[in-house]
Amino acid sequence: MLKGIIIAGAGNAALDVASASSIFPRTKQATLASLEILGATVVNRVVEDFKSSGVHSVEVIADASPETEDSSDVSGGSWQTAGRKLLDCANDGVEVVLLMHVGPYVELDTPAALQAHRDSGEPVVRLFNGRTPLDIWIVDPARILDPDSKGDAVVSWLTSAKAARYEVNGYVNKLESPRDLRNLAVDSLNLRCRMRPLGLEVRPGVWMAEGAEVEKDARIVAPAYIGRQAVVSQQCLVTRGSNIECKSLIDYGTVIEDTSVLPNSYVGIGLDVSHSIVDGDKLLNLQHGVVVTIEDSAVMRQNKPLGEAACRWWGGFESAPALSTADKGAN
Amino acid sequence: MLISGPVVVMQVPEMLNARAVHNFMQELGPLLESNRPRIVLDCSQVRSIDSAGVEVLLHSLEETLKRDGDLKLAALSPEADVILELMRVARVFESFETCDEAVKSFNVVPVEPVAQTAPWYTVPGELGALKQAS
Repeated sequence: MLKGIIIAGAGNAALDVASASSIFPRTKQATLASLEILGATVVNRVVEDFKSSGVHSVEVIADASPETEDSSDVSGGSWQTAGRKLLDCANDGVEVVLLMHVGPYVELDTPAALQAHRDSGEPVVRLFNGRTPLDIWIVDPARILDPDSKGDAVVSWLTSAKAARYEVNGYVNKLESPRDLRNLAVDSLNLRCRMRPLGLEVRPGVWMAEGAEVEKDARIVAPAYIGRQAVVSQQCLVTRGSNIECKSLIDYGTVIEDTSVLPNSYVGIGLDVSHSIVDGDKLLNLQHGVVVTIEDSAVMRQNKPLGEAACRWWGGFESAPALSTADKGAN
Repeated sequence: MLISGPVVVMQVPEMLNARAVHNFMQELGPLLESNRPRIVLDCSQVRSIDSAGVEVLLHSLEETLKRDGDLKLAALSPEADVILELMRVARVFESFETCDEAVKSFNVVPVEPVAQTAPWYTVPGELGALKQAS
């Protein structure tokens, strides 16, 4: 039996929690992998990938207080939980566990990686991207030393054990900075990775999700994505790999160029938003490298109250629920 | 072209919003009423401008142009730059990297005197030769 354990958290200690929270304050999370991009979070997509690769059950570990934890630190709470889950797998007779820390987005050839694990004969295989180790392990839980040990000891063993090495040849995005998030969206829209927008490709390069509205005289220039129940008003222009996420509203005559508009954001009339990420009243300009808070609610704001918006997006809640959803993924 | 009066450099406050524009205009207003006002707004400290602040900047530019003067922006902070671009008014203003450059831009370019080494006409020989010719 094959099981997947996903730790959803900050991808890298270099991504300072405080600064990331100032960029995406509504989420109170410093994890870019938990933000909805092109209709689904990276975590959701990894879960779906696992399931389509034959993984029988998937558990997602998301810490509810990410401000106090750098989840790239293997001594943290999420990792201890993962360690305990590994021990549980050993007791439950699970043959192979695919343990993945989703900070980075990695497109993995799961069958090939599992075969490499079988061929290696080692209890642990760690995946690498070139010389850079990824936080992805394939573990034979039955061969964990000292099954009576606690979760943190298991993780220490995991990181220090002699592990076979497997090179990942697929697409890797580190998701360490907002720029990486933007690159991921653009790469997906330009078909440079396996990730696809969730929705219908209404014409080449333009995807629209269920309930998306594009009003008369608005222009959507490929590649672009209009999310679930998002609205693009008259005389707007959306272009150059821009994505408008769920329940956002782009008001009359605004130009969105090379920009990600995160869920439930309102962008006002007659604006020119370029090379940016918009999250409610926060605008992160990637060219200038600054975050600007727009105090004028007529210019930018949250589109609908959070309760009403109810996006399937962890950022829509004040604190992320700790999930453990076997066989259901994170949907 | 005659340029009269000094160039005034004025600091824009950190927050140029609906609450702050009244105080800002109290300082800037008298300058706008002078003859041929020449004003440089130092935007190095700006962290936030809302639509009221942008309106004030546009109004000030309009008033200076009416009086045959000019208003320029200098040392735009990244935040100010982003907001002005967002609201599509960045190109309306002439902006400079530093206040000094903005101030200098108001000066008339001095015309170098051209040294006249020889008359443009030629004297055909001696004056006597002219008389002989005639």
